[in-house]
Amino acid sequence: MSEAEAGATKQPDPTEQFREMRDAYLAIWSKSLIETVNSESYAKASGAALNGLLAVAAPLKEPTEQMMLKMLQQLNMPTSADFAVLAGRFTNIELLLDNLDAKLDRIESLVTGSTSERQKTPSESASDGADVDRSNANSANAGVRAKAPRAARTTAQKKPIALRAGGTLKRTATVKPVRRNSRKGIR
Amino acid sequence: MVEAPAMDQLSILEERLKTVTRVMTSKAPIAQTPKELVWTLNKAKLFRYVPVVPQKDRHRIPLLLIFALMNRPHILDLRPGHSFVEYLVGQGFDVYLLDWGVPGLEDKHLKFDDYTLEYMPRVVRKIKAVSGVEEVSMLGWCIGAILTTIYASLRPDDGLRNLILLTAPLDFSNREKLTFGRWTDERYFDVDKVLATFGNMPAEMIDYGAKALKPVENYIGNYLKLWDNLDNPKIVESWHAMNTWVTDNIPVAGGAFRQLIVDLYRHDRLMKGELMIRGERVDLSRMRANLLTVIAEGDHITPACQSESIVTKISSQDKQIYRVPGGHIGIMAGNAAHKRTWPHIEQWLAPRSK
Repeated sequence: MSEAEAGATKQPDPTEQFREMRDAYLAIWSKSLIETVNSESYAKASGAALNGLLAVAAPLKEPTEQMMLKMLQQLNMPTSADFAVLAGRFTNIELLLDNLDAKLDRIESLVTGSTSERQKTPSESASDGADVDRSNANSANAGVRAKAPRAARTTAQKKPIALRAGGTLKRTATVKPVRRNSRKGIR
Repeated sequence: MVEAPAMDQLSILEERLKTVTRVMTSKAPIAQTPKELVWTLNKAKLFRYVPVVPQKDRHRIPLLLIFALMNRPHILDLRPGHSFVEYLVGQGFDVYLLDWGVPGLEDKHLKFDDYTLEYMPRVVRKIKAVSGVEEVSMLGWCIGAILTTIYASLRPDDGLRNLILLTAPLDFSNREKLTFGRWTDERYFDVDKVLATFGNMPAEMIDYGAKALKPVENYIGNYLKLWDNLDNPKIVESWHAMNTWVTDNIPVAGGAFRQLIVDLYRHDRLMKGELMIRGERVDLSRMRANLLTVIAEGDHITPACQSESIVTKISSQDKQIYRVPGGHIGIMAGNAAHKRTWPHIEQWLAPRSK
Protein backbone atom coordinates (compact mmCIF):
# COMPACT_ATOMS: atom_id res chain seq x y z
CA MET A 1 0.00 0.00 0.00
CA SER A 2 1.44 3.37 -0.99
CA GLU A 3 1.82 6.23 1.46
CA ALA A 4 -0.98 8.14 -0.23
CA GLU A 5 -3.34 5.20 0.17
CA ALA A 6 -2.25 4.75 3.75
CA GLY A 7 -2.92 8.41 4.40
CA ALA A 8 -6.33 8.19 2.80
CA THR A 9 -7.36 5.18 4.87
CA LYS A 10 -5.80 6.48 8.10
CA GLN A 11 -8.29 6.73 10.94
CA PRO A 12 -8.53 10.15 12.65
CA ASP A 13 -6.97 10.07 16.08
CA PRO A 14 -9.55 11.24 18.64
CA THR A 15 -6.80 12.19 21.13
CA GLU A 16 -5.20 14.45 18.55
CA GLN A 17 -8.48 16.23 17.97
CA PHE A 18 -8.96 16.58 21.70
CA ARG A 19 -5.47 18.07 22.04
CA GLU A 20 -6.10 20.58 19.29
CA MET A 21 -9.33 21.67 20.95
CA ARG A 22 -7.65 21.84 24.32
CA ASP A 23 -4.74 23.92 23.01
CA ALA A 24 -7.08 26.31 21.22
CA TYR A 25 -9.09 26.74 24.41
CA LEU A 26 -5.93 27.30 26.47
CA ALA A 27 -4.64 29.87 23.98
CA ILE A 28 -7.85 31.89 24.34
CA TRP A 29 -7.77 31.51 28.10
CA SER A 30 -4.10 32.52 28.23
CA LYS A 31 -4.68 35.67 26.19
CA SER A 32 -7.56 36.68 28.39
CA LEU A 33 -5.64 36.06 31.64
CA ILE A 34 -2.56 37.94 30.40
CA GLU A 35 -4.81 40.93 29.73
CA THR A 36 -6.29 40.53 33.21
CA VAL A 37 -2.95 40.43 35.04
CA ASN A 38 -1.80 43.45 33.05
CA SER A 39 -4.75 45.51 34.19
CA GLU A 40 -4.82 48.19 36.86
CA SER A 41 -7.62 46.37 38.68
CA TYR A 42 -5.48 43.22 39.04
CA ALA A 43 -2.61 45.28 40.45
CA LYS A 44 -5.03 46.83 42.93
CA ALA A 45 -6.51 43.44 43.89
CA SER A 46 -3.12 41.75 44.32
CA GLY A 47 -1.93 44.69 46.41
CA ALA A 48 -5.00 44.37 48.62
CA ALA A 49 -4.41 40.61 48.99
CA LEU A 50 -0.79 41.21 49.97
CA ASN A 51 -1.80 43.88 52.47
CA GLY A 52 -4.26 41.42 53.96
CA LEU A 53 -1.51 38.82 54.31
CA LEU A 54 0.83 41.35 55.91
CA ALA A 55 -1.91 42.57 58.24
CA VAL A 56 -2.18 39.03 59.60
CA ALA A 57 1.55 38.21 59.56
CA ALA A 58 3.05 41.44 60.91
CA PRO A 59 1.25 41.60 64.32
CA LEU A 60 2.13 37.96 64.97
CA LYS A 61 5.76 38.41 64.06
CA GLU A 62 6.97 40.50 66.98
CA PRO A 63 5.28 38.57 69.83
CA THR A 64 6.46 35.30 68.29
CA GLU A 65 10.01 36.59 68.05
CA GLN A 66 9.92 37.89 71.63
CA MET A 67 8.58 34.59 72.91
CA MET A 68 11.23 32.63 71.03
CA LEU A 69 13.94 35.00 72.26
CA LYS A 70 12.92 34.51 75.90
CA MET A 71 12.69 30.77 75.47
CA LEU A 72 16.15 30.50 73.94
CA GLN A 73 17.61 32.77 76.63
CA GLN A 74 16.09 30.52 79.29
CA LEU A 75 17.65 27.53 77.61
CA ASN A 76 20.97 29.37 77.33
CA MET A 77 20.97 28.97 73.57
CA PRO A 78 21.93 31.45 70.86
CA THR A 79 19.17 33.22 68.93
CA SER A 80 18.95 33.91 65.21
CA ALA A 81 20.05 37.48 65.98
CA ASP A 82 23.20 36.10 67.60
CA PHE A 83 23.92 34.05 64.49
CA ALA A 84 23.30 37.10 62.30
CA VAL A 85 25.85 39.12 64.30
CA LEU A 86 28.31 36.25 64.09
CA ALA A 87 27.80 35.99 60.33
CA GLY A 88 28.45 39.72 60.00
CA ARG A 89 31.68 39.36 61.93
CA PHE A 90 32.78 36.45 59.75
CA THR A 91 32.10 38.54 56.65
CA ASN A 92 34.20 41.36 58.06
CA ILE A 93 37.04 38.93 58.68
CA GLU A 94 36.66 37.62 55.13
CA LEU A 95 36.88 41.20 53.83
CA LEU A 96 40.06 41.78 55.80
CA LEU A 97 41.53 38.52 54.52
CA ASP A 98 40.62 39.48 50.96
CA ASN A 99 42.32 42.85 51.46
CA LEU A 100 45.42 41.02 52.71
CA ASP A 101 45.24 38.66 49.74
CA ALA A 102 45.11 41.66 47.40
CA LYS A 103 48.14 43.21 49.12
CA LEU A 104 50.07 39.94 48.98
CA ASP A 105 49.28 39.61 45.27
CA ARG A 106 50.59 43.12 44.70
CA ILE A 107 53.74 42.39 46.65
CA GLU A 108 54.18 39.10 44.81
CA SER A 109 53.88 40.81 41.46
CA LEU A 110 56.43 43.43 42.55
CA VAL A 111 58.77 40.74 43.83
CA THR A 112 58.53 38.72 40.65
CA GLY A 113 58.90 41.95 38.70
CA SER A 114 56.07 41.10 36.36
CA THR A 115 52.42 42.04 36.49
CA SER A 116 51.57 39.12 34.28
CA GLU A 117 52.80 36.64 36.85
CA ARG A 118 49.67 34.67 37.45
CA GLN A 119 48.38 32.59 40.30
CA LYS A 120 47.73 28.99 39.61
CA THR A 121 44.32 27.55 40.07
CA PRO A 122 44.01 24.33 42.07
CA SER A 123 43.75 22.15 38.98
CA GLU A 124 46.83 23.70 37.43
CA SER A 125 48.81 23.35 40.64
CA ALA A 126 47.83 19.73 40.83
CA SER A 127 49.17 19.10 37.34
CA ASP A 128 52.46 20.96 37.84
CA GLY A 129 51.32 23.76 35.58
CA ALA A 130 51.41 21.70 32.42
CA ASP A 131 48.92 22.47 29.70
CA VAL A 132 46.52 19.67 30.10
CA ASP A 133 43.68 18.86 27.80
CA ARG A 134 40.82 18.29 30.20
CA SER A 135 38.28 17.25 27.63
CA ASN A 136 37.99 13.93 29.38
CA ALA A 137 36.90 15.50 32.64
CA ASN A 138 33.71 13.63 33.36
CA SER A 139 30.85 14.31 35.70
CA ALA A 140 32.53 12.37 38.47
CA ASN A 141 35.11 15.15 38.54
CA ALA A 142 32.45 17.83 38.48
CA GLY A 143 32.05 20.08 41.45
CA VAL A 144 34.27 22.18 43.58
CA ARG A 145 37.89 21.39 44.30
CA ALA A 146 39.95 22.41 47.25
CA LYS A 147 41.99 25.58 47.05
CA ALA A 148 45.71 25.04 46.62
CA PRO A 149 48.06 26.54 49.17
CA ARG A 150 49.92 29.71 48.21
CA ALA A 151 53.16 27.74 48.27
CA ALA A 152 51.92 25.73 45.31
CA ARG A 153 52.15 28.75 43.05
CA THR A 154 55.08 29.16 40.72
CA THR A 155 58.13 30.97 42.09
CA ALA A 156 60.62 29.92 39.44
CA GLN A 157 61.01 33.40 37.94
CA LYS A 158 61.57 35.25 41.21
CA LYS A 159 64.41 37.79 41.13
CA PRO A 160 66.63 38.19 44.19
CA ILE A 161 64.73 41.07 45.76
CA ALA A 162 64.14 41.44 49.50
CA LEU A 163 61.48 43.38 51.30
CA ARG A 164 62.46 46.04 53.80
CA ALA A 165 60.24 46.83 56.73
CA GLY A 166 57.46 49.03 55.42
CA GLY A 167 57.26 47.17 52.16
CA THR A 168 59.95 49.02 50.13
CA LEU A 169 62.06 46.89 47.86
CA LYS A 170 65.78 46.33 48.21
CA ARG A 171 67.78 44.56 45.52
CA THR A 172 70.17 42.08 47.09
CA ALA A 173 73.60 41.23 45.73
CA THR A 174 73.53 38.43 43.23
CA VAL A 175 75.03 35.29 44.68
CA LYS A 176 77.42 33.45 42.41
CA PRO A 177 76.14 30.02 41.53
CA VAL A 178 77.97 27.10 43.09
CA ARG A 179 79.52 24.94 40.39
CA ARG A 180 80.28 21.35 40.82
CA ASN A 181 83.27 19.96 38.97
CA SER A 182 83.35 16.21 38.87
CA ARG A 183 87.19 16.11 38.83
CA LYS A 184 88.11 18.98 41.19
CA GLY A 185 85.23 18.80 43.59
CA ILE A 186 83.47 21.91 44.82
CA ARG A 187 85.36 25.16 44.12
CA MET B 1 -12.05 -10.16 32.64
CA VAL B 2 -9.89 -7.31 31.30
CA GLU B 3 -8.87 -7.73 27.66
CA ALA B 4 -5.26 -7.57 26.50
CA PRO B 5 -5.38 -4.12 24.73
CA ALA B 6 -6.94 -2.61 27.84
CA MET B 7 -4.12 -4.12 29.92
CA ASP B 8 -1.59 -2.54 27.54
CA GLN B 9 -3.25 0.82 27.98
CA LEU B 10 -3.13 0.43 31.76
CA SER B 11 0.56 -0.47 31.76
CA ILE B 12 1.32 2.52 29.49
CA LEU B 13 -0.60 4.75 31.87
CA GLU B 14 1.28 3.28 34.82
CA GLU B 15 4.63 3.97 33.11
CA ARG B 16 3.59 7.53 32.35
CA LEU B 17 2.55 8.14 35.93
CA LYS B 18 5.86 6.74 37.15
CA THR B 19 7.76 9.12 34.86
CA VAL B 20 5.66 12.09 35.98
CA THR B 21 6.23 11.21 39.65
CA ARG B 22 9.96 10.86 39.05
CA VAL B 23 10.45 14.19 37.31
CA MET B 24 8.14 16.07 39.65
CA THR B 25 9.65 14.77 42.87
CA SER B 26 13.36 14.50 42.09
CA LYS B 27 16.11 16.89 41.08
CA ALA B 28 17.89 16.46 37.77
CA PRO B 29 21.70 16.60 37.81
CA ILE B 30 22.42 20.14 36.63
CA ALA B 31 25.53 22.39 36.64
CA GLN B 32 27.84 19.50 35.79
CA THR B 33 30.66 21.27 33.95
CA PRO B 34 33.87 20.79 36.00
CA LYS B 35 34.81 23.91 37.94
CA GLU B 36 36.95 25.02 40.81
CA LEU B 37 36.35 27.50 43.58
CA VAL B 38 38.79 30.41 43.42
CA TRP B 39 37.27 33.01 45.75
CA THR B 40 34.54 33.43 48.34
CA LEU B 41 33.06 36.30 50.30
CA ASN B 42 30.06 35.89 52.58
CA LYS B 43 27.63 33.76 50.50
CA ALA B 44 29.20 34.67 47.15
CA LYS B 45 31.46 32.23 45.35
CA LEU B 46 33.62 32.69 42.29
CA PHE B 47 34.16 29.59 40.18
CA ARG B 48 36.55 29.03 37.34
CA TYR B 49 35.57 26.40 34.79
CA VAL B 50 38.32 23.93 34.03
CA PRO B 51 39.61 24.72 30.52
CA VAL B 52 39.40 21.99 27.87
CA VAL B 53 41.39 23.87 25.23
CA PRO B 54 45.20 24.14 25.47
CA GLN B 55 46.34 27.55 26.69
CA LYS B 56 47.91 28.56 23.37
CA ASP B 57 44.54 28.16 21.63
CA ARG B 58 42.49 29.92 24.29
CA HIS B 59 41.15 33.48 24.08
CA ARG B 60 43.31 35.80 26.13
CA ILE B 61 40.67 37.79 28.01
CA PRO B 62 38.70 35.89 30.66
CA LEU B 63 34.91 36.07 30.77
CA LEU B 64 32.93 36.58 33.97
CA LEU B 65 29.29 35.46 34.06
CA ILE B 66 26.95 37.25 36.46
CA PHE B 67 23.41 36.02 36.84
CA ALA B 68 20.37 37.52 38.56
CA LEU B 69 19.93 37.68 42.31
CA MET B 70 16.65 35.75 42.52
CA ASN B 71 17.62 32.49 40.81
CA ARG B 72 20.52 30.09 40.88
CA PRO B 73 23.04 30.64 38.08
CA HIS B 74 22.80 26.96 37.08
CA ILE B 75 20.70 27.92 34.05
CA LEU B 76 23.99 28.94 32.43
CA ASP B 77 25.23 25.38 32.84
CA LEU B 78 21.99 23.42 32.69
CA ARG B 79 23.06 19.94 31.60
CA PRO B 80 25.83 18.35 29.55
CA GLY B 81 25.26 19.00 25.86
CA HIS B 82 22.87 21.86 26.65
CA SER B 83 25.11 24.16 28.62
CA PHE B 84 26.18 27.67 27.64
CA VAL B 85 29.20 27.41 29.93
CA GLU B 86 30.26 24.09 28.41
CA TYR B 87 29.90 25.67 24.94
CA LEU B 88 32.06 28.67 25.86
CA VAL B 89 34.73 26.53 27.51
CA GLY B 90 34.78 24.36 24.40
CA GLN B 91 35.28 27.48 22.26
CA GLY B 92 38.42 28.33 24.20
CA PHE B 93 37.16 30.94 26.65
CA ASP B 94 38.48 31.19 30.20
CA VAL B 95 35.11 31.25 31.95
CA TYR B 96 34.37 32.41 35.51
CA LEU B 97 31.00 32.38 37.23
CA LEU B 98 29.97 34.53 40.17
CA ASP B 99 27.34 32.75 42.26
CA TRP B 100 25.74 35.25 44.67
CA GLY B 101 24.54 32.47 46.96
CA VAL B 102 21.44 32.50 49.11
CA PRO B 103 21.09 35.59 51.30
CA GLY B 104 20.14 34.92 54.90
CA LEU B 105 18.39 37.27 57.30
CA GLU B 106 21.79 38.69 58.20
CA ASP B 107 22.13 39.88 54.61
CA LYS B 108 18.89 41.83 54.45
CA HIS B 109 20.78 45.12 54.29
CA LEU B 110 22.81 44.14 51.21
CA LYS B 111 22.21 46.62 48.40
CA PHE B 112 23.32 47.14 44.81
CA ASP B 113 26.02 49.29 46.41
CA ASP B 114 27.53 46.24 48.11
CA TYR B 115 27.24 43.99 45.09
CA THR B 116 28.75 46.48 42.64
CA LEU B 117 31.38 48.19 44.77
CA GLU B 118 32.29 45.57 47.35
CA TYR B 119 31.93 42.22 45.63
CA MET B 120 32.46 42.88 41.92
CA PRO B 121 35.74 44.84 42.13
CA ARG B 122 37.16 42.09 44.37
CA VAL B 123 36.01 39.44 41.92
CA VAL B 124 37.60 41.31 39.02
CA ARG B 125 40.84 41.62 40.98
CA LYS B 126 40.84 37.92 41.71
CA ILE B 127 40.21 37.03 38.07
CA LYS B 128 43.08 39.28 37.02
CA ALA B 129 45.34 37.59 39.57
CA VAL B 130 44.34 34.09 38.52
CA SER B 131 44.40 34.70 34.77
CA GLY B 132 47.36 37.05 34.71
CA VAL B 133 45.45 39.32 32.33
CA GLU B 134 44.62 42.92 33.17
CA GLU B 135 41.35 42.97 31.23
CA VAL B 136 38.08 41.08 31.61
CA SER B 137 34.83 40.57 29.76
CA MET B 138 31.52 40.38 31.59
CA LEU B 139 28.18 38.87 30.77
CA GLY B 140 25.23 39.98 32.90
CA TRP B 141 21.80 38.46 32.65
CA CYS B 142 18.60 40.12 33.93
CA ILE B 143 19.36 41.72 37.32
CA GLY B 144 22.95 40.63 36.72
CA ALA B 145 22.86 42.98 33.71
CA ILE B 146 21.79 45.86 35.96
CA LEU B 147 24.71 45.13 38.29
CA THR B 148 27.24 44.87 35.47
CA THR B 149 25.95 48.09 33.89
CA ILE B 150 26.28 49.96 37.19
CA TYR B 151 29.77 48.53 37.71
CA ALA B 152 30.83 49.38 34.13
CA SER B 153 29.67 52.98 34.62
CA LEU B 154 31.21 53.44 38.05
CA ARG B 155 34.53 51.73 37.33
CA PRO B 156 35.27 52.26 33.62
CA ASP B 157 39.02 52.07 34.26
CA ASP B 158 38.97 48.71 36.04
CA GLY B 159 39.85 46.79 32.89
CA LEU B 160 36.38 45.89 31.66
CA ARG B 161 36.83 45.47 27.91
CA ASN B 162 33.64 43.76 26.74
CA LEU B 163 30.18 43.78 28.24
CA ILE B 164 27.36 41.50 27.16
CA LEU B 165 23.91 42.25 28.52
CA LEU B 166 21.20 39.62 28.25
CA THR B 167 17.58 40.72 28.62
CA ALA B 168 18.69 43.71 30.64
CA PRO B 169 15.96 45.63 32.51
CA LEU B 170 17.57 49.07 32.48
CA ASP B 171 14.99 51.51 31.14
CA PHE B 172 11.80 51.79 33.22
CA SER B 173 10.31 54.82 31.49
CA ASN B 174 7.66 52.99 29.45
CA ARG B 175 5.38 52.11 32.35
CA GLU B 176 2.57 50.94 30.08
CA LYS B 177 4.60 47.90 29.04
CA LEU B 178 5.88 46.97 32.48
CA THR B 179 3.53 44.61 34.29
CA PHE B 180 5.88 44.37 37.27
CA GLY B 181 5.93 48.16 37.37
CA ARG B 182 2.15 48.22 37.60
CA TRP B 183 2.06 45.60 40.36
CA THR B 184 4.73 47.33 42.40
CA ASP B 185 3.26 50.80 42.05
CA GLU B 186 3.41 52.63 45.37
CA ARG B 187 -0.40 52.85 45.48
CA TYR B 188 -0.71 49.06 45.70
CA PHE B 189 2.59 47.66 46.91
CA ASP B 190 4.17 48.74 50.19
CA VAL B 191 7.74 47.53 49.74
CA ASP B 192 8.86 48.72 53.17
CA LYS B 193 6.05 46.85 54.90
CA VAL B 194 6.91 43.66 53.01
CA LEU B 195 10.59 43.93 53.91
CA ALA B 196 9.82 44.84 57.53
CA THR B 197 7.82 41.63 57.77
CA PHE B 198 10.09 39.25 55.86
CA GLY B 199 13.51 40.92 55.93
CA ASN B 200 14.41 39.68 52.46
CA MET B 201 11.98 39.38 49.56
CA PRO B 202 10.79 35.76 49.88
CA ALA B 203 11.59 33.41 47.01
CA GLU B 204 7.98 32.19 46.88
CA MET B 205 6.66 35.69 46.25
CA ILE B 206 9.17 36.29 43.47
CA ASP B 207 8.32 32.93 41.94
CA TYR B 208 4.61 33.75 42.07
CA GLY B 209 5.23 37.14 40.47
CA ALA B 210 7.22 35.65 37.59
CA LYS B 211 4.70 32.89 36.95
CA ALA B 212 1.64 35.10 37.26
CA LEU B 213 2.77 37.11 34.23
CA LYS B 214 1.74 34.14 32.08
CA PRO B 215 -0.46 32.07 34.39
CA VAL B 216 -1.86 29.57 31.90
CA GLU B 217 1.53 28.77 30.36
CA ASN B 218 3.29 28.44 33.71
CA TYR B 219 0.66 26.71 35.81
CA ILE B 220 -1.02 24.51 33.16
CA GLY B 221 0.74 24.56 29.78
CA ASN B 222 4.08 23.61 31.26
CA TYR B 223 2.70 20.38 32.77
CA LEU B 224 0.62 19.57 29.70
CA LYS B 225 3.80 19.83 27.63
CA LEU B 226 5.35 17.20 29.85
CA TRP B 227 2.29 14.94 29.70
CA ASP B 228 2.09 15.16 25.90
CA ASN B 229 5.76 14.24 25.51
CA LEU B 230 6.17 11.52 28.10
CA ASP B 231 7.11 9.07 25.35
CA ASN B 232 10.02 11.25 24.29
CA PRO B 233 12.93 10.78 26.75
CA LYS B 234 14.84 13.77 25.34
CA ILE B 235 12.00 16.18 26.04
CA VAL B 236 11.33 14.60 29.43
CA GLU B 237 14.96 15.00 30.53
CA SER B 238 15.08 18.56 29.23
CA TRP B 239 11.85 19.34 31.11
CA HIS B 240 13.22 17.71 34.26
CA ALA B 241 16.41 19.81 34.18
CA MET B 242 14.49 23.02 33.55
CA ASN B 243 11.97 22.21 36.27
CA THR B 244 14.81 21.55 38.72
CA TRP B 245 16.17 25.02 38.04
CA VAL B 246 12.80 26.81 37.95
CA THR B 247 11.69 25.41 41.31
CA ASP B 248 14.96 26.29 43.05
CA ASN B 249 14.31 29.96 43.75
CA ILE B 250 16.15 32.10 46.26
CA PRO B 251 15.16 35.22 48.19
CA VAL B 252 16.49 38.64 47.25
CA ALA B 253 18.32 40.68 49.86
CA GLY B 254 15.92 43.32 51.23
CA GLY B 255 18.12 46.33 50.47
CA ALA B 256 18.68 45.33 46.85
CA PHE B 257 14.99 44.54 46.33
CA ARG B 258 14.00 47.94 47.69
CA GLN B 259 16.42 49.65 45.27
CA LEU B 260 15.02 47.62 42.39
CA ILE B 261 11.47 48.70 43.16
CA VAL B 262 11.95 52.26 44.37
CA ASP B 263 14.97 53.49 42.41
CA LEU B 264 14.38 51.60 39.19
CA TYR B 265 10.76 50.51 38.72
CA ARG B 266 9.23 53.61 40.29
CA HIS B 267 11.72 56.39 39.52
CA ASP B 268 13.82 55.06 36.61
CA ARG B 269 16.89 56.58 38.22
CA LEU B 270 19.48 54.61 36.24
CA MET B 271 18.43 55.97 32.86
CA LYS B 272 17.83 59.45 34.22
CA GLY B 273 21.37 59.50 35.62
CA GLU B 274 20.10 59.96 39.18
CA LEU B 275 21.02 56.60 40.69
CA MET B 276 23.40 57.02 43.59
CA ILE B 277 25.66 54.16 44.65
CA ARG B 278 27.67 54.84 47.81
CA GLY B 279 27.52 58.53 47.12
CA GLU B 280 28.63 58.17 43.49
CA ARG B 281 26.23 59.04 40.71
CA VAL B 282 25.90 56.30 38.12
CA ASP B 283 26.66 58.11 34.87
CA LEU B 284 26.08 55.77 31.95
CA SER B 285 28.05 58.04 29.64
CA ARG B 286 31.21 56.95 31.48
CA MET B 287 30.85 53.40 30.19
CA ARG B 288 33.43 52.68 27.50
CA ALA B 289 33.42 48.90 27.26
CA ASN B 290 32.43 47.27 23.99
CA LEU B 291 28.76 46.42 24.33
CA LEU B 292 26.52 43.69 23.00
CA THR B 293 22.97 43.77 24.27
CA VAL B 294 20.83 40.73 23.54
CA ILE B 295 17.09 41.28 23.44
CA ALA B 296 14.52 38.50 23.52
CA GLU B 297 11.68 39.50 21.22
CA GLY B 298 9.10 37.49 23.14
CA ASP B 299 10.28 38.50 26.60
CA HIS B 300 7.35 39.11 28.96
CA ILE B 301 9.57 39.80 31.99
CA THR B 302 11.94 42.31 30.37
CA PRO B 303 10.25 43.84 27.30
CA ALA B 304 12.56 45.02 24.51
CA CYS B 305 11.95 48.67 25.38
CA GLN B 306 13.88 48.15 28.62
CA SER B 307 17.11 47.08 26.93
CA GLU B 308 17.27 49.22 23.78
CA SER B 309 17.98 52.73 25.01
CA ILE B 310 21.25 51.89 26.80
CA VAL B 311 23.15 52.18 23.49
CA THR B 312 22.20 55.85 23.19
CA LYS B 313 23.49 56.69 26.65
CA ILE B 314 26.96 55.16 26.75
CA SER B 315 30.28 56.36 25.33
CA SER B 316 31.32 52.99 23.94
CA GLN B 317 32.29 53.19 20.27
CA ASP B 318 31.64 49.53 19.65
CA LYS B 319 28.03 48.71 20.51
CA GLN B 320 25.52 46.32 19.03
CA ILE B 321 21.95 45.21 19.63
CA TYR B 322 21.09 41.62 18.81
CA ARG B 323 17.44 40.56 18.73
CA VAL B 324 16.54 36.92 19.11
CA PRO B 325 13.13 35.28 18.86
CA GLY B 326 12.30 33.71 22.21
CA GLY B 327 11.52 34.42 25.83
CA HIS B 328 13.46 35.68 28.82
CA ILE B 329 15.05 32.31 29.57
CA GLY B 330 14.38 30.51 26.29
CA ILE B 331 16.91 32.55 24.30
CA MET B 332 19.72 31.05 26.38
CA ALA B 333 18.34 27.72 27.52
CA GLY B 334 15.80 26.83 24.83
CA ASN B 335 16.28 24.30 22.05
CA ALA B 336 17.40 26.95 19.55
CA ALA B 337 19.86 28.68 21.90
CA HIS B 338 22.87 26.68 20.66
CA LYS B 339 22.00 27.52 17.05
CA ARG B 340 21.36 31.25 17.43
CA THR B 341 22.24 33.04 20.68
CA TRP B 342 25.34 31.15 21.79
CA PRO B 343 27.14 31.30 18.39
CA HIS B 344 26.32 34.99 18.04
CA ILE B 345 27.75 35.78 21.46
CA GLU B 346 30.81 33.66 20.73
CA GLN B 347 31.37 35.31 17.33
CA TRP B 348 31.01 38.77 18.84
CA LEU B 349 33.25 38.08 21.82
CA ALA B 350 36.05 36.02 20.22
CA PRO B 351 37.66 38.81 18.11
CA ARG B 352 37.32 41.19 21.07
CA SER B 353 39.07 38.81 23.46
CA LYS B 354 42.50 38.84 21.83
